[in-house]
Parts: sequence; C-alpha cells; structure tokens
Amino acid sequence: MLAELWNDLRYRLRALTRGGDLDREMEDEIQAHLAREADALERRGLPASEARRQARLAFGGLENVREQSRDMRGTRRLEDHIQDVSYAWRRIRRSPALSLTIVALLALTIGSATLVFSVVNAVLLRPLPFGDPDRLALVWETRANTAQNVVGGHEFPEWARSNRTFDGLSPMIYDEGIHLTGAGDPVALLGVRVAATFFQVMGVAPAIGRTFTADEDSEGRGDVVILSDRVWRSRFASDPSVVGRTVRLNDRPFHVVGVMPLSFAFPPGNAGATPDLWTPIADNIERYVGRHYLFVVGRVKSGVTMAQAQSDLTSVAKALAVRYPEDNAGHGVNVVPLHDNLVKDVRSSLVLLLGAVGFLLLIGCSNVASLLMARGVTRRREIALELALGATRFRLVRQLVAESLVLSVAGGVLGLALTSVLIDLVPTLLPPGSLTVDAVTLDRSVLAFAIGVSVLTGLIFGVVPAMQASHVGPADTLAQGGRTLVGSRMRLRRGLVIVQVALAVPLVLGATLMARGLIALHKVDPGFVVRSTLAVDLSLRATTYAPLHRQRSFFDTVEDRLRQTPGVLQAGSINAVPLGGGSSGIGIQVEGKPEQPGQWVSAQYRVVTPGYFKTIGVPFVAGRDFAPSDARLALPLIRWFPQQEMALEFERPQAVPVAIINQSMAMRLWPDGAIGRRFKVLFSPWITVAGVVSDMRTVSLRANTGPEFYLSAAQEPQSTMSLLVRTSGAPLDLAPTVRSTIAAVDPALPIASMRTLEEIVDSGFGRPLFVSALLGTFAGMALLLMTVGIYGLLAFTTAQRLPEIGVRVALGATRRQIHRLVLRDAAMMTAIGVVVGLLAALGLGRFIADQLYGVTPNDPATMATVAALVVVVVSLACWRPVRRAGRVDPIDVLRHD
Amino acid sequence: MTEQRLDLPQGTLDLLILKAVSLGPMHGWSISERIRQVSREALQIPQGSLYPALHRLERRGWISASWGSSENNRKAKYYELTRAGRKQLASGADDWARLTAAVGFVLDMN
Repeated sequence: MLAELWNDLRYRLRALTRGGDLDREMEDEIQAHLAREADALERRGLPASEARRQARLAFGGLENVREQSRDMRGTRRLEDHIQDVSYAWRRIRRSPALSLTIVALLALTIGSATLVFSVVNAVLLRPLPFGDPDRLALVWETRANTAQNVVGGHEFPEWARSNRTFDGLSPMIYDEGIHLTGAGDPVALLGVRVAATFFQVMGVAPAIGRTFTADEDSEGRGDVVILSDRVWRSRFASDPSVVGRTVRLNDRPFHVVGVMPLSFAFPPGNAGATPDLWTPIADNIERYVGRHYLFVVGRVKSGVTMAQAQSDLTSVAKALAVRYPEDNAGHGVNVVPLHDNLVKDVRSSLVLLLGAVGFLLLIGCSNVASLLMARGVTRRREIALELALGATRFRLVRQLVAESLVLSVAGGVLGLALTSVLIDLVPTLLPPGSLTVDAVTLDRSVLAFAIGVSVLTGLIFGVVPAMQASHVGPADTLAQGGRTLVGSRMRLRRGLVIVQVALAVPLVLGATLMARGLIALHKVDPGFVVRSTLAVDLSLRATTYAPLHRQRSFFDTVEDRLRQTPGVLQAGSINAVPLGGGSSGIGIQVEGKPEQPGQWVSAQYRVVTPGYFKTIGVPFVAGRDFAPSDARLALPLIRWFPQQEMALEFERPQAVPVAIINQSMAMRLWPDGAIGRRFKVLFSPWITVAGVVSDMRTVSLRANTGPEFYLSAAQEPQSTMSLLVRTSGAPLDLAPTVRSTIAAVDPALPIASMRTLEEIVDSGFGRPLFVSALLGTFAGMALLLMTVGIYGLLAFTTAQRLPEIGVRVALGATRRQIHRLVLRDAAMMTAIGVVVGLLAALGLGRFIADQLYGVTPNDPATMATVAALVVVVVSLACWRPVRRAGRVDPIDVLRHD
Repeated sequence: MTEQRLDLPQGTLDLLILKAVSLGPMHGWSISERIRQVSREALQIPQGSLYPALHRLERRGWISASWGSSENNRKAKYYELTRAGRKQLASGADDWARLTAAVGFVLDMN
C-alpha cells in the first residue's frame, strides 16, 4: 500500500515537472502504434494509404486519447490551471489596447478602494496600541442634556472604590502650557496629570524607566515626570540617561522616571495634539465636591461587558446622588468603549467613503464585464471552433475566467502600486486630529484586502461574460461567420450599462451634495471678522506671574504696545480662539429664578481682554465693552467648588463682577432687557450683565453656539491666552514685530505658534474638504467609467446594425430618423439607470445626512441637476456612434455584406 | 484509489493488459494485437482506451515502462509487469474466476 502511494506520488511529480517530455513520449508512442497498425493492414493486402486511414479510424479520436491519457497522470487539474493562465496571457497579448484599458481601469478602481481601506484600516480596524484595548473605556458623567460630561472630583474616588467591574480606573487632567526650561529654548508643552494606576490601566509600559508609584501620586508629592518619545528625542537628544535626571517644569524640579514609547499618545489633546509629558495628580481630589474637571479612562475586568460596567457604575452614581442631592441629582454614567469614543467623529465619513468606493468597484466590474463580453463576441468563432474540436464548456469557462483573473490581478498589483504612492499623501490631506488612532500604512490587512478585491472583481466580471461566451452553438456560429447577435447577450450588456448608470447616480449625487454643503458652509458668516488677523498662543509661567493680576497686566501691556505699532489696527486676547476647536459649557444660575438641582442653564463661556471685540469686529447690541476700570483686586472670580477659598480682598470695595453675553443668552434668559441682570457661575459672586454682543458661531460653523457669555481677563485672569492682532496688511508680515514686542515684555516666554485666524477657521474645513475631494474624485471616475461603458455598447451595437441602417437609408429614412433610432436605445438605458439610481439615493440618504450642511440628502434641485448632468454626459458618449450611424452610405454597407 | 469492482469493463481491461504483459515486455500495439489473437478475435480492445489504461497502470506501479527499439528499428515503449503488478494480476484473475463462476451458477439456476 505504502509502496503504491510512493510510486503514485513519484509518477505525479514527474508528470508535473516533465509534463512536456511525457507529452512527447506519448506522441511518439501513438505514432508508433499507428505505423504498426498500418503495417499490419498492409500485410493483409490493403494499399498503403488506405491502411493508414484504417489505422487512424480504428484508433479513434486522437485528441481524446491524448486528453484521457493526460488525465491518468493525476496532475491534470494543476497542469490545466497553469495552461489556462498561459492561454489567458496569450489572449490578453493578442488585444493589447483592450487589455491595457481594462488593467488601467481596474488599477484605478482597486487602487481607490485600497486607499480608502487603508485609512479605514488604520482608523477603525487596527487595534489601538494599548494592552488588550477592547477592555478600555472612557467613562463620562451624564446630565439631562449632556452625554459626555467631565467627572466631578468627589465622584471619581467613589467610582474607583465601589465598582465591581473594573480592573482599574484613572482620572486624567489636561495641563496645557507647561513650561519646560533648561532643555533648549523654553517651550510650552501639553502635560497630562494622571493617577499612578494610569499606565497599568492602559496596559503600556514605558520604553525606558518606570511608571509612577502610589507614593509619588500622594498629596504633596508629584515631583516626577514621564516624557513622551517626541520630547525625549527633540529636547533630550534621545539620551537614555535622562531617566534619573531632574528637569524644570513651570520652574519646579521634577525627576524624570520614564520615557513612553512612540506609539503611546494618549489621551489626545485638542486639534490632533498629543501629550508631551505625564505627571501624577498627587492631590486629594475628593475634597473638590462639585468640581467637574476629570476625564476618566478605565479597564473593565476580563469577561465583563461594557453594558455590565455601565450598569455597575450607574448604581454607584445613584448612591452618590443620594449622598449629594444638590450636586449629583440627575447625574448618570456613560461608559463608552475607548475606540468608539476616539473615532466617533470620523467613522461616518469613512463609512461613507468606503461605500462610495464599493460602488465604484461595482461600476468598474460591470464595465470590464461588458468590455470582455464585447470581446467575447468577436471571439465567438474561435470559441465555436474549440467547442467543435471537443473542448468542454467547463474548460472554456475556466479559461475565460482565468483570463479575467489575470487581468484583475494585474490591475490589483498596479492599483496597489498606485496606493503605495498616494498613501503618503493621506496625512497631508487629512487635517490634524482626524486621525486619532494610527498612521495610515500598507500593512498585511491592506495587502490582503487588495488581493481579495482583485480576485473577487476578477471572478465577478469574469464569470458572467465567460458563461455567455461559451454558450455558443458551434455549428450556427461557424456557419454565420460569427457576426450575428444573440439577443440575451445584448440584454445582459444593456443591463450592465443600466447598472453602471444606476450606481453612478448616487455617487455623483453624494459628491454634489457634499460640495454644495461645503460651499454653503464656506459662505456662512461666523459673525466675526476672520481675515487680516494674526493669532499667537501664549502660556504664562505660573511662578513668574504668581499674583494673578500680573497675568492681566502682561496682556494689557502687550496689547497697548501693539496698538501703537504701525500696521496694527487692533489687539485683544481670548482664552479659546473662536472656531479653534473645543468648547466649554458651564452651568449658570440666574438671579430671581428658583434653583433646580441638576437643571442649571448651560452656557459657553470664554475670557477676553477689553480689546477683543473690537479686534474681531463684533458689534454691541446693548450695553458696553469691558474697560480697564473693571479690574478687580480679588482674583479670581469663579470658585469651582464650595470649599475653595474665597479670593483675597474679596470684601474690599472694588469693581463689580461683569459679563458680556451674546444675543441668544439675552433672548433666552432676559427677553425684556438683559443689561444689569445678574447670574452666578458655579460658586462665583453675582455677575452683572454689562453688555450684549451679536451672536457668533464660536464652536462650529454648522450651528449657532447658543447662550454664551464672556468674562473679563481683568476679573478672571488666564495664564493661557491667544493674542489676536488685526493688521492693515498681510497678518504674517507683522509676525516678527509681534514676536519682538512680546519678547520685550517677557524675554523668557515661549511663543508656541503664530497662525492667522483664517488658518485656524479653515482647519475646520479639513475633514469635510478631504471627504468631499475623495468623493468628488470617485464620482468623476464613476462618470467616466459609465461613459466608457455606454460608448462601448453603443459603438458596438451601431456597428452591428450598420447593414440594417443601410437598408433603412436606402428605403428613404432621414438622418434624423436614423439618429433617433440609435439614440432610443441609449435614452432608454439612461432613463432606467437614472430612475433606479435616484431611488437608491433616496434610500442611501441617511448615510450622508450628517456630513451635509444646508442641503438635505434628498434635495430635489440637486437630484434634478445630477440627473441632467448624467444625461449630458451620456449624450456626449453617444455623439460619435450616432454620427457614424447618420453617415452610413447604404451602397457601401450593403456591398460589404 | 482501490478499484476492486469486479464487473467493470475497466477492471477487465486492466486485467487483460496485465495478463498480456506478464509474458514479457511488450509495446502498446502488440498488447492489443496479442489480446485479439489469443481471444480468437473475440476481444477487440478499443485502441483509444488502451493508452489511458497503460498510463493508469503505470501510475499505480503495476507495470513499468522503458524505451527500446523494436523490429525494423522502430523506437518503442515497452511495458513490463512489476512485482506489485504480478500480485495484482494473481488476485485479479482469482476474482475474475470467482465472479464468472458465481455468475455461471446464477445463470444455470433452474
């Protein structure tokens, strides 16, 4: 038995490696056989030629015997595949123009799909670079109108103590503008304060050194720091011995205990910023009752679902609401899987793009299928011949599919090459912050995707035409010279064209809607002047500006000096640039309205210097602007939690706390006049409304901000402000002057970035622009493919119908009538395709709805425009075939037949 | 893999070929000729199935092939029974005898 197997294997191997030799041997053998048979017959008295004939007859079908003998070798299947591919290659080379067209077409579509997939892969599919990332979640507090609120100081410790579903939880506090001195130029960095458990929760160890100990995280300690890979490289020359050294942060010494790996950039900052360093919280946060300032990340226990964690923490929150009825009534918990939370903004854009390339791929497939079918027709003679010679239909289909697979794989390889070139452009196209997860790279999954898509498209566009092509009655076709049409084939090709139109319509519609939305968004007046304004982010060092009033005098001085500089029209500062990303809602309490726990009015708030509103050109509707005389002795104004000490000199007579509110807030709270009315922010004294400004879109261009109020930096000074300078000329021309003016006031102050306000506002367009550009490109490709498809079919049918047309012309048909005859077909297909496409678009609208601005997905005008566009494009595609039909010379055509 | 079906023409053909080559190395044409003569012309091997069968038997390892030259210097492929083939022939012949006997009994039944 074993010997038999061995013999079998040896034989097959030989057959496989030396198949050609075996074929030749078999040929010799068969020829020898025929010769002997003929000899024998001759000996019986037949003439030589008759003997040879008889011998051949007795032997039977030569080709059959050859095939069957090959079958017996047991390597038939593999050999056939190899043969199929080499046949395919030969056929492909026989019509290079068509093959190149198909490969190019596939390269474009598969390349586009792969490019989009590589982004989807990086953002949505690839696991986060943390240990066991599926168990990580962000935990938020919820209110009646907020799903993701920061967590209170008194809440977190109770969560951490009483939950039964988390392995660990860590609060995170963003610490913007930390000054690192003594390592190159002074620089303002983004720090994050975390609990000692943070790195354990994230499941990531430092690349060098260690994490924080519990002792280092205790109150009064906290003088240790872990650096990011970037800071370590840029500021410490990648020196591993930095661990153990002391660095100065905000003029305090910190021991460096570790350096995180490059891949660790958590939690993400505003607008794509990543943390530069981590320090322990080292504070008894529980005393801050009602101070909501913590971001929370947690790792659920293994085997625990997010839903279980959610219900567990919800019951903890209920207990808290009982203990702190004033602060916690109506506060819930929201456990959001970390990955979901990080990608929530980009997911819908990516799903949209993925759907779009899916459509494009299908259009490409049907296009190639119909091209191949056109070739199938010209090949019918050849196929009929092969069938007549005894090839099986199955074998023929396989050969044709092999051909389309060779084409699609070639297209896929080219497409992949295209992707690898374009992939480097993705980060430059993507606005910062939209890719919170990982760099876009060609990894194994992307390669697998490209290969899978190539093979799949090859099968899809290959099988149908192959079945069709092989469905040939040999006798008929050979007799008719292979020129007659088969009805079902034409129906199928028409169907494919309709599919292309129907798929292109939603794509073009989507792209048009996106573009319209983008244009509408660009036209939105934010309510303030964007142009000719320079924005400089500044972070004052806490120690240098120790009494808070020194912070305000810094900005007052810089602004005053700038105002006297030629070329500067106005200068003012704000703690968060409008439309710069981010928002800060806060609860307020209105005088004279009964307090309802958990039902506070929420408003946006920002802090500005007196020059701010003039700088950005916002008119006052009522009241006055802030003035230097608003400066208070007792700083700051807002206490964040009840136990926070009252500011020094609070009892001394001084300027009253004032605010400037926007019109929305005025209308909502005091429709009969807001000036002089009062409200409180958290635990502040009463704040009087001094002025009302017109509404601005400060959080997003897409919607009104709602109630918003401004406090004066003279009453609530900020260490981190953006200085805005309105210029008469190009704003960046003034950058050196602004820089030197600041340096003259504080030479040690790092100037992080200088941008124009326009740049900041435009960066909000980054993602919609990216999505819109890609979608537009795909729509353009879809239109092009559709055009090629219709043109190909029409040119073909027209060529087929030339004799008929010739007869009609001979019988007196006018050119107009001929045109109509040819166009009727195209018009029919287009009409069906457009209607089906629009119906499909109606169903798909919800996938794009949240990406749009100012138009609904089913906007009738846009739909009509797109339908018209498709008709125009189709007409262009019809132009040549129609003209050709119109110029038919009947004599010419009839003679030809 | 194993084809022990007794009543298949294919098995029969294999058996005839094995028997023919058991008498000494032989090329394809003479195998068919030998069978024809010995069976007194009763068995005419369809020549088309001879070669596939030879390839199959060779793959099985029951016969081996080698090239040599025959009468009047023609190149020819000679087939020869292997040891495995001899065993197969013995058991095949045995099976055949039993089959025909059994079929005979049934047909003779009154």
